[in-house]
Amino acid sequence: MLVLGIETSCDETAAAIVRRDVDGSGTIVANVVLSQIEDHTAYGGVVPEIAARAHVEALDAVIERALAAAGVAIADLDAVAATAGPGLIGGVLVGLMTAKAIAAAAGKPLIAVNHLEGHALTARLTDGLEFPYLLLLVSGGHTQILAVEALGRYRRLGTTIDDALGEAFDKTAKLLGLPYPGGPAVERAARGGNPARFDLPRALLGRESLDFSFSGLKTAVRHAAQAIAPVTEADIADLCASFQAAVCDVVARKCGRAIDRFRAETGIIAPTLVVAGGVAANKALRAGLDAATAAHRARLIVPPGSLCTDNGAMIAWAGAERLACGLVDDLDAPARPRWPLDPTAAPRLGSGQHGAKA
Amino acid sequence: MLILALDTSLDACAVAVATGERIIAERTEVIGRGHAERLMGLIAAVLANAGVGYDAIERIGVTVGPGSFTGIRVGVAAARGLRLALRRPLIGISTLDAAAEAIAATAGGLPILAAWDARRDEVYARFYAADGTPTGEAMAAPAAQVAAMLGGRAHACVGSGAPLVATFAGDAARVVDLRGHAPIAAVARLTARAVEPVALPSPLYMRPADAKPQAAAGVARA
Repeated sequence: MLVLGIETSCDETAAAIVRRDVDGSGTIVANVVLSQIEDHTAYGGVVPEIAARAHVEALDAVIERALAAAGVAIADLDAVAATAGPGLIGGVLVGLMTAKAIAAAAGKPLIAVNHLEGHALTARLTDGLEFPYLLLLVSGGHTQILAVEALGRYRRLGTTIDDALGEAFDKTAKLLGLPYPGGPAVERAARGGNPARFDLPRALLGRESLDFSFSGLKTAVRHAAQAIAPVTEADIADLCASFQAAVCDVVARKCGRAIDRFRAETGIIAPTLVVAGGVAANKALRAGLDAATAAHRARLIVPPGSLCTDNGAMIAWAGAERLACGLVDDLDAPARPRWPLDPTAAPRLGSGQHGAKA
Repeated sequence: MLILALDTSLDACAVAVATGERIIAERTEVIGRGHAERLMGLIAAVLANAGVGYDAIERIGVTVGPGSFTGIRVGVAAARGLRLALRRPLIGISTLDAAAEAIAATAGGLPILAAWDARRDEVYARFYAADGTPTGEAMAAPAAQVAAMLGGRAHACVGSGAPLVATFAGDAARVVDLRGHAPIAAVARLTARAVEPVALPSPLYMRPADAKPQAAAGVARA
């Protein structure tokens, strides 16, 4: 089956065509991503209204490029999938409405995909991975450890209780006058720095919990920087290296614990840990996870960078997996700014009338 | 020529099917919000009433604003998606132009002002001749400023912003219709009359995104 996937939940306008064969294997036929980073750089972060405006101008051409690159007509598709949340609602609405219109006019089923499910299932597309496995999702909007048990069955083992990891990188970059996006900038600056110079906090390590907290770390970086201000290039390098060492330490140790817990729960001797999200591109984090998975006798899968960051292929693939199980949506499907993958997990972030964030 | 007209820019979710300027079926639901959930079901219902399928549509018209930023994008994104699937021309229609067109036949020879309430005591507004032909550009402006532009001359005023203008303009503003959306039949008529555009329709926001460039770095650098 051939599925068109549309992703517009943050600052990438993306569309892809993915094929799923009857044996469950998948192939990316076309994958087009248009980044809006330049539109947001001056603001030091993604501005929701600017993102929504850019999506509506760009999306149909991005879809046309994907179809053309695949040599596929809309009539050839078996379904149209789009991110329906969680994410910036203005952008999600653009992708979802475009998908609904194509599906209705072409007489194809619509699949309203949870963006996090797209990340969660990517390793099944790239590596043919079988359920169950562990997922570390680290992006600008999310930081979670999930047990991926089956299609539609995701158990949250841990989550950030404040800032997402990518957000912590962005805020550290902003504090130190480094450009947006902060992840690559901090990683670059950290390269020549001394990771042991500043003793930064590793939050929530003392407990059995697999939850994360990065808000205190951000404050500690600010205090350390202000204490030695004005900061030189070497100071910035040391601050970035120390910050990065702290987050890599926390994430690696939490993942080690998650592997042990997952093994105890499932009886699987050598579990697999999959990493997804934009922060997966960080080389220091990757090294920390390599060491942690080796020490805890697990296999590490890091999909290619272009499939770790937001993309349409993961949405098309999640749509294909759902379609293969007969899971399709009605054309009144709502866009959902908040949509936890594990609806049974207690909210740790975001509450009140809007419910848990993710 | 069979036309499908859509409007989700303001307080209504509305769909019409027309042959040229003659309406075959239409539905307008004043829902305020929830356009994204309702629109496709409404299109299906109106197509069914008209006894036609998507493949019969020869031209699509959609309102591009001014109006609610989100509502505008719901309509424009859907219409651009329909264009991709149907390969038919897509026309963007101003909500103000449609409002003026809707009252042109009954305006009694007066020049027309179409105005939507844009909050903060401002209106989205545009002036027209008595036959609905625009005589200026669309603007987002304080209601008092638009009222002054009437120059004391009687105008037929239409739209949710008309009463606001009238509070400053007095008798010159003859409020003839204060509905909060562009009548979908007028959107369909303007779609039928439009010259096929080269470019795809884009939202007509009239206001920039509310965002300020980043302040300087948090810590002093040597």
